[in-house]
Amino acid sequence: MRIKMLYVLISLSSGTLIGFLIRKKKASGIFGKATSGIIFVLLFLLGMTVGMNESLFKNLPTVGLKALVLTLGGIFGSVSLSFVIYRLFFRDRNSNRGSPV
Amino acid sequence: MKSTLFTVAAFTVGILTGLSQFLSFDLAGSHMVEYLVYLLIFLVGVGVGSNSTVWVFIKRVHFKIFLVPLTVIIGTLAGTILFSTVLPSLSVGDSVTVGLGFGYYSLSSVIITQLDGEELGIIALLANLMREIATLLFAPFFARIFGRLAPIAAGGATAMDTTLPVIVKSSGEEYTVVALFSGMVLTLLVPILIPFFMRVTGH
Repeated sequence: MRIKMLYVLISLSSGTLIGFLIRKKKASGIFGKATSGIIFVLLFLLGMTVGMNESLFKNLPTVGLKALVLTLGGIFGSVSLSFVIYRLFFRDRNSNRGSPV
Repeated sequence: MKSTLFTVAAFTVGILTGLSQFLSFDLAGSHMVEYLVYLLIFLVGVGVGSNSTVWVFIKRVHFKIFLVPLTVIIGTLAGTILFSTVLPSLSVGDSVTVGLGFGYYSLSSVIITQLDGEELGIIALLANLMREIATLLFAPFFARIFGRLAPIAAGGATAMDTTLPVIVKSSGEEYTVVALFSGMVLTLLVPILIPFFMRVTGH
């Protein structure tokens, strides 16, 4: 199995630490551009994988429908629970102004 | 919205290139992609760490801010499990794996492709992309009906960047730090929870 948990944790924690240390430097914009570049390459390759795989490409509508159902489930669940949490802990009955936290 | 279009374009150009049989590539078996994913995870960390707005506010923030990402995690998983029952061809475990992307489609889809395979990776890409697009389009509606945390909940991990502007517009400026915090926590959890969950459930 590719993607090792240990390497994930090392990459993430070292990145967060370095980001925190350079947070006031102008150079941090370069990292944002690099992120977009890598995402572009990875999604391009993912698209290529779909294009090369005939059965996957033909099944794209079915796959899309499954994805839509999961999206609706995720949004429905999180938004509904947020409604409860908002009413219980965040809503200020006296005013609509001020900091919520 | 611009960055969303940019990534959709990358994916579409990739599909066309694949269809043309012009180039060939094995994504799931590639070492190069594995290293690119670590680099991306590193850069995701840099993005979170260098976000100074939230670090400044976090010191004087109430503990209840932690309830927000927790709400998104529990709500997303409960909703995904519930809705996955109408998808007999997709196991509950696979559905939860997709849900754990929390809208972060680029990272979740590549990690899932490497760990499980192309089909689930594509489902993760589309499902999480739709989550981001739905938040961009319906944030004001969510806020009106379900309260001001709802756009943040819908946005998931994207609440710290791509969907932040519409969230702030719908929930109000005083929810900016809440959205940033929730989005940052979820962003950091995506590359941790997906491999962890897949290992625990024996994928």
